[in-house]
Amino acid sequence: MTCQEMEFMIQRHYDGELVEAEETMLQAHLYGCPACDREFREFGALFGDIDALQVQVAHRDILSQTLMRLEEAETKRRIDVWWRGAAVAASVLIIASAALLNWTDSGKAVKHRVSAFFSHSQDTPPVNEPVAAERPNTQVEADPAQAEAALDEIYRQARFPLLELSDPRLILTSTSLTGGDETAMYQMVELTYTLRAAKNGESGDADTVYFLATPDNSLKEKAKSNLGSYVFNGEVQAGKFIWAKVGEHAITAEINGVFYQIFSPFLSTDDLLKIAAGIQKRVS
Amino acid sequence: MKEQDLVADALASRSSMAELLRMIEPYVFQTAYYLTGSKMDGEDVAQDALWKICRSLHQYKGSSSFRTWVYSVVLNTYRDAVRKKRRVTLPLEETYVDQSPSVEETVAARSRLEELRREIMKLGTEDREIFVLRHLQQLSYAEVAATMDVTEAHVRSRLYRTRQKLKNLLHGGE
Repeated sequence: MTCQEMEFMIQRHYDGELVEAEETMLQAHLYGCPACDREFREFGALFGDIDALQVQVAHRDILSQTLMRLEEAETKRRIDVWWRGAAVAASVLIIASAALLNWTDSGKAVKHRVSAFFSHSQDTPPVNEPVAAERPNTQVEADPAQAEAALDEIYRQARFPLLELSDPRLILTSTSLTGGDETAMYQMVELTYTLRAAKNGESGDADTVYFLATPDNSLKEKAKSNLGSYVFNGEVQAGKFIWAKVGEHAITAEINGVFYQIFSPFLSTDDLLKIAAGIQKRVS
Repeated sequence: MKEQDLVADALASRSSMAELLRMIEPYVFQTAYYLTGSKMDGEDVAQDALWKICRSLHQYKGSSSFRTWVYSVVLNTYRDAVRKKRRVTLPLEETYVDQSPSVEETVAARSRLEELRREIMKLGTEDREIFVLRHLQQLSYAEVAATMDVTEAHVRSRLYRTRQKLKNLLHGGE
């Protein structure tokens, strides 16, 4: 074995990787080769220094700062959920009041139409006059004042240009997981749509339309956590959007065989039942 | 407890998340400290990395080891910091290691170790990352390769060359 090859063996020796036969071969070579023996000792000194390099360094409390930031983000997310919930609730109400949820039951295919709310209507004013939104009765256990203020803000800003999911201009761009909750153990899925500009058939991104949904609570028992029994890999292609049933302050819908709840804290169960009754009547 | 379960628990409960972060924080800081060569920069990188770990924990799928996943987040955070720092201020390489003597270091050995630290800071980013992960975080060659998404042969080749260089600089001609 050459001296050059020995150098690798010396480094592997200090890495503790040599098997017994290799160790014997190395020692035999070192015995008869002063140059490699010097190399061996020099590497020994270097590896000794490297071992002594590690030091414990006192540092500022990064952990507490991170946990505090996590807490703040969680609080902000909850407020955000309320806000978006208000937006979804408002759009659901408009579906009902303007009778845009139109189901055809010719026996086989059911055509689903859902209106959506998008927030930057000022940039692309709708051709039609805005639909007047009827103010809903809010029944929110947590904070009715906040709910009312949120709705007021929506009515002040939005002109509610309505869109149906079957509208070819509306493209589902992504669905993403937005996090879990320590107590309720639910996931939320944010469906993001973009609106293709419709002027003269040109295409391009315009506004973003948000829906917020959570998995059906009936799956909660099976779900150990966010990594639980239902599989959600972040980006998925959403398939048919099928109303399934109505629950407390939520409508459950099915996407690709997974049930999600439209988060609508501002609708009472009665409101939802009325919507669901209308749907079921047409489906049956 | 399995890594997968630790992560699952952390996603489900705030206290488990705190526990997980408490467990990995020393490794995250030490790695950031050795990579940046500065306590203050190390703290900043470590804090950013811990936050990214919190926020992207749900993306950890269990296909790689959790340990290498954490280290890869730290490396990416460090690389981002180097890029940002280069734009606005001195290169990171010019900030040397703080004076942090340990009791084991004798005066003579200390100056040699300082020299070694300086030489490590002069290494290119990739060579320094490999050195830190292998020698200061005790990762195996396979783990270093997985963390950096390169081959094990590449890691070995780079590190052998780095150690040869350091030996010649610091212990050559003894």
